[in-house]
Amino acid sequence: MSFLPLVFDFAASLRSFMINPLVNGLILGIMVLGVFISFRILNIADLSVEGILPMITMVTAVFIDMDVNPILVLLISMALGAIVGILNALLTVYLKIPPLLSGIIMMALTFGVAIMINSLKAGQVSFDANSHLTVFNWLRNLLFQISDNNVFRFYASYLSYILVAALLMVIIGFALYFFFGTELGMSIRAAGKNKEMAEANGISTNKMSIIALAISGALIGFASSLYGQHNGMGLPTDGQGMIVIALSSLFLGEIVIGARTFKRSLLSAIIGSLLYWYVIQVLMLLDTQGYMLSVYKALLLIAIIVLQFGISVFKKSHPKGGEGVKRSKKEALKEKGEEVAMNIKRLCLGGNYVC
Amino acid sequence: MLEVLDLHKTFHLDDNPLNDKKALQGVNLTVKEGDFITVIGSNGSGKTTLLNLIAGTFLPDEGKIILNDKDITKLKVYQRAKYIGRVFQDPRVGTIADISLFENLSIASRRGKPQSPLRYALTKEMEREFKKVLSPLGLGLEDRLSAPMGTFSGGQRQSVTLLMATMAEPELLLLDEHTAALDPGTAKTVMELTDRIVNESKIPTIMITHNMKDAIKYGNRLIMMDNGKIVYSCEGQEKRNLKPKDLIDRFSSTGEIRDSDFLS
Repeated sequence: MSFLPLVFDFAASLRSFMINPLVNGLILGIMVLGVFISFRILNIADLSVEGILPMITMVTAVFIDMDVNPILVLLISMALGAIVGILNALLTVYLKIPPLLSGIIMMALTFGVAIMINSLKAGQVSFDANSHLTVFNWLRNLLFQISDNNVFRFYASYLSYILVAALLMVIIGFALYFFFGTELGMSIRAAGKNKEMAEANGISTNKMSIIALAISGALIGFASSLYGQHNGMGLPTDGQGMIVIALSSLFLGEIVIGARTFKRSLLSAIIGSLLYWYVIQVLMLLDTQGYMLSVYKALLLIAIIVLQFGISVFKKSHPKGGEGVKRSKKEALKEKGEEVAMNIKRLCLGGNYVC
Repeated sequence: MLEVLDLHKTFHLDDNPLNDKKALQGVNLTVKEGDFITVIGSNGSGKTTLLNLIAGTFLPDEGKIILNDKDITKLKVYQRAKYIGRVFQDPRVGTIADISLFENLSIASRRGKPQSPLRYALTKEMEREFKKVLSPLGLGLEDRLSAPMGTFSGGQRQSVTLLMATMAEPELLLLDEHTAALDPGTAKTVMELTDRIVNESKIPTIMITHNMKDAIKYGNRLIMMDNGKIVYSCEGQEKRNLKPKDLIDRFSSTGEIRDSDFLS
């Protein structure tokens, strides 16, 4: 994408800077919430999203092409995602496979299903968005009845994408907020934060892992189906770099919003996702050749992690009035380094390390 | 009433049977209603293993654990938690640092009660109830219900854990050197609080301690462990008359003192 047309073509620049990041941020924000549950609530590194996403965008494209009700397709996708999550948890709970590895196994498995569908359909996994109903274009079709003016239709079509995605995001955001305030939700959070404490208080951490990964999978499935319905097709490469996108969004949100309370950490996943896609839009301007974006995304994640580390060290060495102990920069650096090392162990091995 | 019958546990460090660690070699113990038992013994004597087996962290190789006529030998940790309250040595283990004091307490208050998963976990009624239990501690915790647990001191966290372990009225309380990681002043406060709670609630309690003065001062019964066995037990008048020196003498006669803590 060259820079000049953006300046002169109002419609194209509106699309690039207002609509695309917003729609991407909202749809994939639901996926970020799914990753947030495994990564931040359950404290395990689950990479299966890279496989679940293409599998479900393809399943969605096939079903929509068969004129299945789009809401039903969303529900099927959620169920599929939840099944993958449950299988993933069972690998960890019963076969004692470390969560990092079991996530990779599920990623390979679901990616395999995507390849399978792709081969069965001879690489043509797509549908025509004008003749098949999706959750996005029913609103668009309603708006189109108002007028057949081209300019109106241009805005109406994007407005419908944004409205549907925003509505679903709001519903899911509130549902999660209330769910994690219930007794079950609190038990899941306890099991993820401190296994020994949870068990000593009568919470089965195995059961909680299974439930939490099912919810995480269902959210990822839901977002993947929306992604497929929005794109009008499914590709085996859809999932590529999704974990990088999800983690970047999550960390970016935590830098901006913070994670002091549960409400804030939930909000940071959503806001982070929106912000991330605006940053990506800027990076796309730098990527004049059109093949550097994945590299930029990876570099961006490194930058975000380093920034988050730096901010945390700064906060430790400059505590706000009376809160916590003041440490020297060196001490703060060492302490944060140990925290990170502990976190990595916990994320990959799923053991119980308290902090 | 807790009955521990002929408990055996061996840890296999590697494939070589010579390196097996026989942690418990036939332990029998009966804890009666209202008992407050203090357990002493040097490192590796099996006292923590005994507590872990009762709590369910590991399963015994042989033997039975019976709590109020229920055989709990094979139950998982979270299943026993219905009947057993526990305080750990590390103040960071008993509570969750990232969530508030209120949320921590609410998790503990549901232990062993009928579950209603989708009911909202924090209620106004609970808040009043928690303030009522927190204020007698005299630590000012009742005003800090919404503060994250991580911002509290080790002593405060340990006091809260103690409260959490006892608030659902368990049938047995296990204390695993719960004052060992605290500074002497705080340790004393927490110890006095423990004594008060145990005496008021009458929950049968087993407390491991490294501090011989505490072991003599608190509780109605004292047992000493060595090499995976109970080597000495006393109660009542005999216990009240004990001096730390007697215990050290007994240590030297039953086995070597492997722990410099006992000499200090």
